[in-house]
Amino acid sequence: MEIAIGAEVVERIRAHLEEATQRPAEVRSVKVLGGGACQENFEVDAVLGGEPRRLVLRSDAPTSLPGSIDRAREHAAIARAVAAGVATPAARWLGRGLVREGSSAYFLDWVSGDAIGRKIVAGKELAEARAKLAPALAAELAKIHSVTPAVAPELFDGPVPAPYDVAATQLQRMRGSIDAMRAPRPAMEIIHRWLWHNRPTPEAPVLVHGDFRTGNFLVAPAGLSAILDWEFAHWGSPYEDLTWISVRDWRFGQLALPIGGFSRREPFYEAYERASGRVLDPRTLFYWEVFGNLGWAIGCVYQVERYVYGGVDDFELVAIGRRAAEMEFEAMRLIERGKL
Amino acid sequence: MQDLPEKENILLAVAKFLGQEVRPHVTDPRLSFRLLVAAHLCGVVAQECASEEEADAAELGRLAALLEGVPPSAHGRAGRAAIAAANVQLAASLRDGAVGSDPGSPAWEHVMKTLTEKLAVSSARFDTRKEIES
Repeated sequence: MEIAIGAEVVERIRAHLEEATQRPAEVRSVKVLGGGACQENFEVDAVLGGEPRRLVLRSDAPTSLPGSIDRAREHAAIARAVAAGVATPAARWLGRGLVREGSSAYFLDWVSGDAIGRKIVAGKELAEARAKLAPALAAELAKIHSVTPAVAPELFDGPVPAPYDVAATQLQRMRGSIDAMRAPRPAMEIIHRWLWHNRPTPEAPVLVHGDFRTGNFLVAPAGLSAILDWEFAHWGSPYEDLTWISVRDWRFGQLALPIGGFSRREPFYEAYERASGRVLDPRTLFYWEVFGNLGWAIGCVYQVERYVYGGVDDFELVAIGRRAAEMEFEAMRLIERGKL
Repeated sequence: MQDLPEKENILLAVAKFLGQEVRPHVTDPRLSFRLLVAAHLCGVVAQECASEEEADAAELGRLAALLEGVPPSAHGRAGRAAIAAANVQLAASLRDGAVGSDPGSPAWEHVMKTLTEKLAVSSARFDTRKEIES
């Protein structure tokens, strides 16, 4: 998916920066960065009021994934996370129509580090960072989960009942996704049915990152540098974030290290309990890990259907489709086992 | 029927060419990764060509044992259509509980077996052990 950066776009970016910062702005270069399905990212080298600034510009893509929010909402969620002390670059200078008409976009300060899964779980230069990554991430999660609808009622659409049966709401959305698939998935039916009949007690919702896993945070040799990619942020259960990181694919081949492929479970859960003051229930962790595996299995099918039926000509979508069976297997393996 | 080379020969040759001849000359890490994926996918399809007839027959046989009105055997295109139709029926029955799906039930065992067979082709290195964290 290539986006041509015309002089016109560069000028719009420059004018927007000038207006938003109230300082003279110069844009030296705009380069496409690897994006996602819901957003397009650009590296922008700018000079603001005489000061060189390396920025990331994050703009809405023409398509979005179910459950994702647009850049304007993402900008607001990040502001709340930053206020709660989360290590994530502040989102600045929200604008509309910068890259394409009708799309929202905002800027982030450039943060160095690596987000590539294989490097994070196995890179030699990150060995020291890896050793302390689990407690660092747990502490960040506790900060994210300190944001509640009482504090930030404006964040997402619709009323938020409290307590709230998060699992039921999300299972209904998953039901819709499974029904929309072109081919039946018997394994998903089994897993979905089990999840419906084993729902945990409703709980008070919190801000959930929604895609908290290896690949969506930056790690530098010195340690964790930033949490990224807030496009699936929502009001939900803290257990969603605590278990998504253990979904089979997000271990990047390091199965015996269920926290993101770099840590055993205990250091992560214990650090979270210390930082959040919550006591984690093993049964609920187990439930949401099954849930997460079904969620990503559905995501894999959705991605390959975008290629096969949706006219999205991206080679990597082809490679994702059959991975759904891995997460289906994992969810069933867990159910059979009855615990993590 | 085509002459030699067979489908598997072609796919494995392409996989080897991409992975062993082209990839060492590619310096861009993203492109290099994509080449690896491409070579892997060729290998997967080669494996699928070699095993699909047997795997499809086994899947259809299991579906026929589980559900009413499913032909116990059919080949080629008709076989794949029969599997697809039976899976629609199975999915609906699992959804409304008409077919039980507790661990160990016949439907559960069939679905696990089918997943395991699919993974043996598409993710040959997938670890199907019940204990993976020790």
